[in-house]
Amino acid sequence: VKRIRPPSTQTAAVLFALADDPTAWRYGYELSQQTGLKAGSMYPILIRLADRGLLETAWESGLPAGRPPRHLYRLTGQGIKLAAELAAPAQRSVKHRRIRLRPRTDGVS
Amino acid sequence: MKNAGTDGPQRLLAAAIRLLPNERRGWGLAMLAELGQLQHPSTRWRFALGCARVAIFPPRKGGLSQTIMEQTQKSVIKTLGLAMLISFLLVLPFPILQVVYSQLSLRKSDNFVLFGLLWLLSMAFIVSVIPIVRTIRMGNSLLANPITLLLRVAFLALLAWMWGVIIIDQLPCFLGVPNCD
Repeated sequence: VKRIRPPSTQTAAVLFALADDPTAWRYGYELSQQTGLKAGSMYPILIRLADRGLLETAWESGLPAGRPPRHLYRLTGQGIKLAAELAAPAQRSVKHRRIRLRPRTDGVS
Repeated sequence: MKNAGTDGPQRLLAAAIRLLPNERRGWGLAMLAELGQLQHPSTRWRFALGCARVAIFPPRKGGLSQTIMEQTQKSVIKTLGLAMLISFLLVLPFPILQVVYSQLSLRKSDNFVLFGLLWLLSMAFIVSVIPIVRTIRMGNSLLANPITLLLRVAFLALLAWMWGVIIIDQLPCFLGVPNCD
C-alpha cells in the first residue's frame, strides 16, 4: 500500500493560492508574493506538484513581439481535489475554534 | 532600468541553469523568464539567488523510490567497473610477459581470445565475491543463506580452477618457451 504523506504547510499554501481561482493561469512570482514564499522554496514545490500530476504548466503564447513568454501554472483536476480535501478539515477546525473561543455574553451585564 | 539581459542576477541564474539535468531544464527557463519581469535590483538578486539554489539542488524526479533506484544502478555500475579494472590489472602481466619473452605477436587472434577469457573469468570471480565481502563488512552472517553461499563458493572454486588451469597451461608460452602451443 502506497503511503500518502500529507503536504507541508508551504505546499498547502501554494495549493490554496492556486485553488483560489482554479481556472486561472498564474505566474510563479505572483504565487510567491501571494504565499509569502521565496523563489527558493516556491519552485521546488511547483516542480514536485507538477511531478505528481497536481499542477499543469504552460508557456504564455500570443504575446506582442519583444516580450518573452512566462511560465504559467494552474491546478489539474487532481490538484483541485487535493486542495479541497486539505481545505475541508482546516475550515472545520477554524469553525470549531471560533465556536469555542466565542466569548460568553450571557449573564454579562 | 538596467538591461536585464546583462546584469548579475541574470548571469548568475543563467549559469546555474546550465547545471540542471535535461528533464528540469524547462523549469530553469521558467525561472529565467520570471526574472526578466522583475525590475528592482534587490528583488532581482533575491529571486535569482533563490532560483540558483533550486537549479543547483533541484528536487529529484520520482522522489525517494527513484533515488533508491538510481543509487542501486550506481552501485551496480561501480561494482562492474571495479571488477573490470581489477580483472584487467590481474591479466595485464601475462600479455606483458609474452611481449617481453616471446617472439609471438599480440596481434594473433588466439591471444586475444585467451586474454579475453582470462579477463572474463576474473571479472566473474570478482563480481561473485563482492556480495560476500559486503555481507561480512556489514556485520551480517554468511550462514543466513547457506545454500546460496554453498552455490556461490562452488562457482568461485570452479572459476578459480579454470583460471589456474589456463595459466599453468599457457605459462611456458608467456615465458617464451620454444615450440609452445
